[in-house]
Amino acid sequence: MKIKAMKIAGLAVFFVFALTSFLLPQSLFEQATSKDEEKPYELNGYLRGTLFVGKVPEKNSLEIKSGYGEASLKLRLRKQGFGDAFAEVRFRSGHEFQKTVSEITLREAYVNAYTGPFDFRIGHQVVVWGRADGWNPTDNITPRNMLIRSADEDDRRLANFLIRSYYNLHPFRFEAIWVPAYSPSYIPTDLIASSSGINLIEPDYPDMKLKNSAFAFRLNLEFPSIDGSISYFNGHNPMPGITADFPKVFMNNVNLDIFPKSYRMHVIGVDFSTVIAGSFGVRGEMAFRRSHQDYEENIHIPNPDLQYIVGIDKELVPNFNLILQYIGRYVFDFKKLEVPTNPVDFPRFKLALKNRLITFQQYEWSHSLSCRAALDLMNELLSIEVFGMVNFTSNEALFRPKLTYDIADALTFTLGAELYSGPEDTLFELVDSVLNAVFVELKASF
Amino acid sequence: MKKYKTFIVCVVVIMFFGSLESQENLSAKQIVDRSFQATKLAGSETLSTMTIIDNRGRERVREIATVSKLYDSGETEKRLIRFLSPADVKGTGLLTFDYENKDDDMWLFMPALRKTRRIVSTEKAKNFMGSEFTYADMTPPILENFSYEILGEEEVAGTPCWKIEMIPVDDDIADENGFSKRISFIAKQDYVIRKAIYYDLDGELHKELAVENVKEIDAKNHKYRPTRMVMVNKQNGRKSVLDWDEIQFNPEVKDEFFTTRYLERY
Repeated sequence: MKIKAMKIAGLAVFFVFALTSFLLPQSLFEQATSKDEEKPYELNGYLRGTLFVGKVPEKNSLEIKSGYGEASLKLRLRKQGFGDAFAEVRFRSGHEFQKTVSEITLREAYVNAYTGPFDFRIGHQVVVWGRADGWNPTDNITPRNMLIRSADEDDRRLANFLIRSYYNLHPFRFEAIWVPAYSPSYIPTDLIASSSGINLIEPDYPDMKLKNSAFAFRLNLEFPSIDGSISYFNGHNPMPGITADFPKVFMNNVNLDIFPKSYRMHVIGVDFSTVIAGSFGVRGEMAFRRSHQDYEENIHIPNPDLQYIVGIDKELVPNFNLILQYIGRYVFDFKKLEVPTNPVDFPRFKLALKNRLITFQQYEWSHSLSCRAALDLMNELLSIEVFGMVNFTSNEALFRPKLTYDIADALTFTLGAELYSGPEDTLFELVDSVLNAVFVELKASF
Repeated sequence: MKKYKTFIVCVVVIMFFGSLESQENLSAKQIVDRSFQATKLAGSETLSTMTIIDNRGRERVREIATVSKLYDSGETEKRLIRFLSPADVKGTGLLTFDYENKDDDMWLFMPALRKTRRIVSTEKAKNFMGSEFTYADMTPPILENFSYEILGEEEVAGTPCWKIEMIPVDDDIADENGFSKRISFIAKQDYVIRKAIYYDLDGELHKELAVENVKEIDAKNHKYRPTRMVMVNKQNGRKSVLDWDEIQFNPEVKDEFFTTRYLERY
């Protein structure tokens, strides 16, 4: 009893000490960055008009893929050194996917609390993990919608409700995340399984029970010359697979009901970044993924796999930066899908092929290269960035050039394109008719 | 008492001539080194405004908050720069561990990317926030990377200065810093640079720096800071003015500022 009381007293002293350290008056730097002196909140945001034009599928003409106006309001509240809160609301109106849209979305809304070495963030938020550029196998917490059309790639990340906490003991930083409820990535089932005789029915996602929540941990090591992390995720993959209630016997003219279904997985990851020879940035990331359930019996569950990325970045001449990365994947226990002899197995075979497309598991080994070249001209008024990725195993390629011109402070014009290409029966071939587009955007921030 | 006075006078005279002799015997490299040391504060917090004026007179304004502190007996300066405006770069932060004898470690946090990225410190020839200043102008270079020569003495705005030529030891260093030659005018009274002329990699006149309103910030250790720097690009007519609106000497700056944890808290 006495020991317990002492422990409680010790904890109380610790928290009082932690809190009082924040009661001290704020420094000039803190005041400047928080504007506490003027008002306890800041209101920022932007207004933008965006137009995406692309080819009509299977026709030789152009169509408006998306055209919308959007207003964003970002509110930030400051509570001296104790914490802050942030929310962003977006109003969008226009045309997307041949439909009229008019929607209000809460992009993010969360509260931060800082108590001594502990930081907490609770709310609807986006989490980005991984030190590689553009492709992060350790980043499995935030769901995505790859069909969102925006000049800003970050808009494809969809915030979900979670609790994020840090324990800071420099140079170590321990991070723990709890995601109470499952939030899926958008899966374009109509593109992946579009043919006659197929019905898309309600997805099979985990309900809001505690046992279905996800958790993740990351230990960051931050040394002056090298930084890195080891991480672990245990939860349902935001990107579900597709499965069906397969008939036991073959029958003609019977519709097949397909539906997205999630699965739980473990992901163990590491990443690092450093500088070698004074002028080369080197970064790497690796993750091993394995599902909880049997992947051989369930076609929507991918095999265990190992993804690894290593890249260098270098400023070749002033204001011209190049990032080159090798991206590899090894699929464990890989078995080539054989065309079934029994017609009753054919729907399962076709759906298994589609699942392999969306989980990038068509091959036992796959090898890709990515390149991001960025050039700043006219004293950073004009920026040209080209991102390209080629998968040498599947022959899929992605090309994303973007030109941004600062007309004035916080007024930018962007011209870009997003081009996917791939041979028949590849993911990029499936999405190219929807996603391939040229876009323009005018954005004013305040 | 008379003996005591004579002793004091002798000490003062010796110190005066001694200091004159030591100043006159300083090599170009030593003067440049003292110039770097003269502006190194044990700790400071500043607010500054950068005005970028193009050749047609149009202005763009950026506001910056900076906090810095010396470590390792002054051999390492840790510095955090936070961009406050314009709105589209607000929150961007740059954390630098500036070492005297090796390449710096640098991390950049951009709110749009949502993560901190280690960047290569040799990218010093890059324009700082689209201005005529480069990252190399904002941090003292590694002394051994240049050769130095005293070209003479000259007054700048009434202040007697040494005129010192600084040339990168090889092409790689020149590329990194973005100039083939720099002529610095260093004040004899406080070792603070008052003017500098930059020549581009082809040896052509490129930029001219004017340093104004030098103030003693740490009177005990004789450390100074200018409150205005003007860089004029002689090739394209653009001009960038960096005004320090507030400079606060604070050796007790919190260590937690110089962590990626704080870098990401904007």
